[in-house]
Amino acid sequence: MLLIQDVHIVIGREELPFDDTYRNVFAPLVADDAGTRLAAFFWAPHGGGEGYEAITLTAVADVDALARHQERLATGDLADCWLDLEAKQRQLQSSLHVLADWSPLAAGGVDGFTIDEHPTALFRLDAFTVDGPVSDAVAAVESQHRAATDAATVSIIGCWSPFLGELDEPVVSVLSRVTSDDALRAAFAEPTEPWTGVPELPGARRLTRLLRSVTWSPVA
Amino acid sequence: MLYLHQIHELAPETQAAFESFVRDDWLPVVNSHDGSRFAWYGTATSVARFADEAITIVAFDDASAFDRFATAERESAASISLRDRRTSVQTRLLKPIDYDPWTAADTKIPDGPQEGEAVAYMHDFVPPVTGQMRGYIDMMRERYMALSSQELSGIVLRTSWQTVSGGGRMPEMFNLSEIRDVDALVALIAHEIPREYKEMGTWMWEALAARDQWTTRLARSATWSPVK
Repeated sequence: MLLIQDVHIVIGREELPFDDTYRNVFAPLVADDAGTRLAAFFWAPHGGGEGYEAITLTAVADVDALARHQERLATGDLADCWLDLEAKQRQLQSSLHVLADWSPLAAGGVDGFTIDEHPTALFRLDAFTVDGPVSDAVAAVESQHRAATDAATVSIIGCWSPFLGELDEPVVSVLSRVTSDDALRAAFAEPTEPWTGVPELPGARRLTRLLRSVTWSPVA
Repeated sequence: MLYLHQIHELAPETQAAFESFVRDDWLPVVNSHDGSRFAWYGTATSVARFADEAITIVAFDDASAFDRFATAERESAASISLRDRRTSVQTRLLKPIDYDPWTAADTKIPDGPQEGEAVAYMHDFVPPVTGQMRGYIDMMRERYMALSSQELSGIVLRTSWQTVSGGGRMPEMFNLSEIRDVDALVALIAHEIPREYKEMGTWMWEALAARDQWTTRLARSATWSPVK
């Protein structure tokens, strides 16, 4: 499965319209193609990162579905809505990735992503710029995921790497869910201690986003 | 007062060596200059946006003290050593805003390292909409600082400074807020702000005219930082 990761810097006063348009118009339209689904919608919470930064993940079954999606965005049935969403942003960074097969996120295929109401949840998205082969880093994350304990602050739910592999920046992304408010409270109470459950990749540079899912995000 | 705020980007796994250098070598150099004090050393927490960085704040009594420091250290061996231990640096020169809690509390800076417990902070740089710095300052003074001590008991603003001319890549406000109550931070981060607080005509919506971009770092002071 492929993932399109979009980082949106949204105009502050467009926060609610942006969220509403994604939820009520864009995400349902995306699902009209059997090969694409909006997989996740997160906001960087106030107090935890950039102001009015949203992260979306779009799951794409294969490159044929990707080509159809890109055509729909450019001149097809998604074009007007996408233009409307673009106008609500200051900046958009879009990148294409391969989701590791072992990721819990990959378990249900694209059909596993459906829009339902549920409580918000907290996540962290760690982007590791690695100094060795990307495949080795993904394998290391898998090993740590399989060895994880229930007592950890976070649990890994997804891992992805650039579609172009070593031709692109060697960044391995890991999405982890905070297991509970109590775990979060305990982690914040000890600011000198590392959060448990977060992958360790020696020599890698880490950039972290703290994210909160919206109530309708498929990944929650 | 003037404050030299620097964010030092470090190579992975070099933070401990950098911190030791700053504590043992750089801090005494800073404090050897009349009117200069090394005030604060901050580092990333596990969930900070940028893992490999350190934050330093040096305080100067006035512009003359800043000039003496800069003239002496511009090309010094100590400065070159500091430079060689990092991969890049963001430098800002800041001054306190009139309601600055650090100034109001008459914060004293010890003249050397002080061992104690690390303190967690929300470290914010806020670039107001161009032309709205004064409006944002007024908003902070009249709205935020007017909140009751009970409302502000969990996350407490410790500094509110702004860049001076020549002091940064854009006009910014720097707010450093101490996290005194973890529950307050969890409530802020983990739970969605109700929609009705954000709609047109609300305080949050009005404030967005002055600023809607910022970068928050969840940082902590070093256990030896002169000011925790």
